[in-house]
Amino acid sequence: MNKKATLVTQDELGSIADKCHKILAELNKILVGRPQLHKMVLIGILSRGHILLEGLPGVGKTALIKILGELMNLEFSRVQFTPDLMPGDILGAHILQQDESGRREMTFQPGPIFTNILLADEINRASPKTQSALLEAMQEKSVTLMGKTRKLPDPFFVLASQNPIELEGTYPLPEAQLDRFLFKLEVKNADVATLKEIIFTRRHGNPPKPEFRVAKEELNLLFSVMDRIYLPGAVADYIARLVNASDPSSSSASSLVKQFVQYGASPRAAIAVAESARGVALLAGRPTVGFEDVREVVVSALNHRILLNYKARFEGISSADVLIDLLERVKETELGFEQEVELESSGG
Amino acid sequence: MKQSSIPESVRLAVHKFRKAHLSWIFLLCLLSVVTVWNFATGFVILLLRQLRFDSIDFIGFSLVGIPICLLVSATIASRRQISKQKALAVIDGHNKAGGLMLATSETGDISWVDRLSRQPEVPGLKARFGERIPALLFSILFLIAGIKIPLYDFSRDRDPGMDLKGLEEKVLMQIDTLEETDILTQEEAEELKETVEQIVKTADKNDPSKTFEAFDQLEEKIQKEGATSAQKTIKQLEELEKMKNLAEKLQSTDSSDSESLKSALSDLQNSFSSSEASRKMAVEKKNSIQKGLDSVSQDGNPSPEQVKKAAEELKSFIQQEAKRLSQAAQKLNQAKIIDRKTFDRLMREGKIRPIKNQQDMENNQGQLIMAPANDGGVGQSSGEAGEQNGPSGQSPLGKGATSRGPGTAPINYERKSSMHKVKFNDEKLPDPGSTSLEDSVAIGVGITSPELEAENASGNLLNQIESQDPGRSGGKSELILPRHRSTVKSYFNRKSP
Repeated sequence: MNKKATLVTQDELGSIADKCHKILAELNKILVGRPQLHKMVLIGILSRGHILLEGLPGVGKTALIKILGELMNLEFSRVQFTPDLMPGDILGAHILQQDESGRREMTFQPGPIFTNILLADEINRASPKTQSALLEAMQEKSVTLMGKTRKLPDPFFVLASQNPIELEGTYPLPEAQLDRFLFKLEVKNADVATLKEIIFTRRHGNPPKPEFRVAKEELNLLFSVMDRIYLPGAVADYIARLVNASDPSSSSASSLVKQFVQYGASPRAAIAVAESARGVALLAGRPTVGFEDVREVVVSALNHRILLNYKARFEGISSADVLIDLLERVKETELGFEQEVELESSGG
Repeated sequence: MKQSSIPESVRLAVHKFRKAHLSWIFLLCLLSVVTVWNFATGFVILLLRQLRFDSIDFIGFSLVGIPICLLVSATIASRRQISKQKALAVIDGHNKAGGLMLATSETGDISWVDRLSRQPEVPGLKARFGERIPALLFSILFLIAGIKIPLYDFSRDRDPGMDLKGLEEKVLMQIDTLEETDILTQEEAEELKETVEQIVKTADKNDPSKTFEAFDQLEEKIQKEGATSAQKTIKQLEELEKMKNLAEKLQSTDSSDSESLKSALSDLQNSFSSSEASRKMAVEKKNSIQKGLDSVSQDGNPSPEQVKKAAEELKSFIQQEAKRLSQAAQKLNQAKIIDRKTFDRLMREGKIRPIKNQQDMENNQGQLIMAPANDGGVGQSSGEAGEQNGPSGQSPLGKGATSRGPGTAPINYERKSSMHKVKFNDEKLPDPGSTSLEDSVAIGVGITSPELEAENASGNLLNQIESQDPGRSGGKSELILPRHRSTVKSYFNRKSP
């Protein structure tokens, strides 16, 4: 907590929050049926994090990212990951070129990664070598080739997708790379009403173009306001206790965690939760992060960061189940005295 | 937490919540502390009672803990009270303020204060007592049990204890009898009763002989008093007999013979005046008889009627007195106060004879009546006792005939003395061979086989026969002449038949 910090003013936050709601509304209008998903993706973008989308083919993952890029006025690139995809195909390569004077030299040809939003389609189909090529880019926002580091454009996001049904011939993402994604969001099928609307309005499957775009300055302001969203100490304490409770070796771990979790969330996960909670607060038009903001993003932020053991697979326990149980057991504020005094309401 | 930045309503809500939290914490602490206190106090009370410190007010002792428990609980609760920041976080979360309260408090930025609720709701609290209440109830029961439960005498199993009830009752009854028969004064009787009480109180189960000795001494004293009383009674009866004879003589004296009459009257007066009975008699009665006798004697020629009247009056007095003495003696006898020795002597001297029933007593009012025909009673003579118990003198039905004094008391073969657990120490007896036979006379015969003494340095054999020294051990072997060696050896090595 920073006692010298000042909160974002109401006017400033109000305009920014309106802009975000406008983006969301446009997104919901263009891509019908999944407002919560759109909200989480926007939060992820606002938090400047990478997002992993998991869903069946044809559910609109690519369309979502594409529209979002257009709305946010961000450059967008799509890479279809295949087993034969090489790292150079993503990062770029040096090629021999001859200039006008006939002099030949190696010129760096940047890959599709040099963009604001990189859509890595079916990322789990690429080889581990290719997958790891994204590691540095996602974390450092830079690419090193031939000993030379090149910065990626700012902002830079990796929005990856993976197909949950095609397991043969796929390479599951390593934990190190999974940990770099802010969210892992499940893109579900549309319901009947949504499908009906899609049939009528998307005859060829192409979504309409957004009616407006966010200017670059607005985007920068958006990010700067995000940075100024205040995180109170008690909320940070709550996040820390949640992440700590996900570790089976922790004394505060629940029985479910101890039984089914092999590895808990890392400190990076705590940062991810804090940042994404700020995005929730911003969308809610508040200058501060509250406990409910944390609860909204915990499942999405942590479900791909905790590793379950084989018992969980046998009993059909998912990460989401474990995290929901965690949210129920970890209180927002510890009242002390060995938890023998508690609030009468179930929320606290 | 910056107090000035948050609204007053929020501050009040925080205060209210902290107060409620403190109350619950205090209550939980109090339950735990009181439970611990009850168990500790109960244990201490049990210990004190076992050590016989019964004079302590145990209830007061345990109630002293109430303020102590309150103080301790208050101290612990104040240390464990929730902080203001945490309380604010609880209220922020409960009111869905989104961290605004916290941020305003932490940063001091009041630009968003208007977004805060005017009357923030204070969440209610509840405590999970768990096992505290059952533990508290159990501790209270333990405390009550510690105060009320009867203590178990652990020495009871090792030593069944002394049964003094019968003995005590007997002695107290004897003391009452002595008091009733005016042998002991009230103060003396009370003193003896206190002595009995003291003996019973200080009775040591591990050393019963002391208690029985004390009772023996007391009984001896009582018997002594009884014997003294018997002696006095006998003397009084003799006096009464004498007076009775004199009265009869007076009655039989010829009324015309005034000299004989006067002489007889004078003898009677003297006898009456000097008698023990007259001294004990009530003043009015004594004066009346004395007056009668005096009036008769003063009168120069007493008439037969006057003489008869005086003699009858005296005889009546003698009869009453004898009856009183008999009844007193009967009481003493029933209380078994008079011992056998005294009784036997009195019987031999013919002073008393046993009575068998009430009719016998009424028919023999002038004689000292003692000793009923009770079984094993002290009033029986040895001959009668033999008849009672059978010709062989064995007590019937296995009852022990040995008594601790007057009357019989059953023998308790199971009573253990204080030394019953003392084991004999193994002691090695001295070697008889080494015992000094100071009184023995040397007869020149050794009790062991003779030994051949080794050659001395000069090579000469010692062929001397040394006489046995009376002061030395009888096991000392003698030197024998070489020519006798084989004979002696074969003698001692012979096989006994």
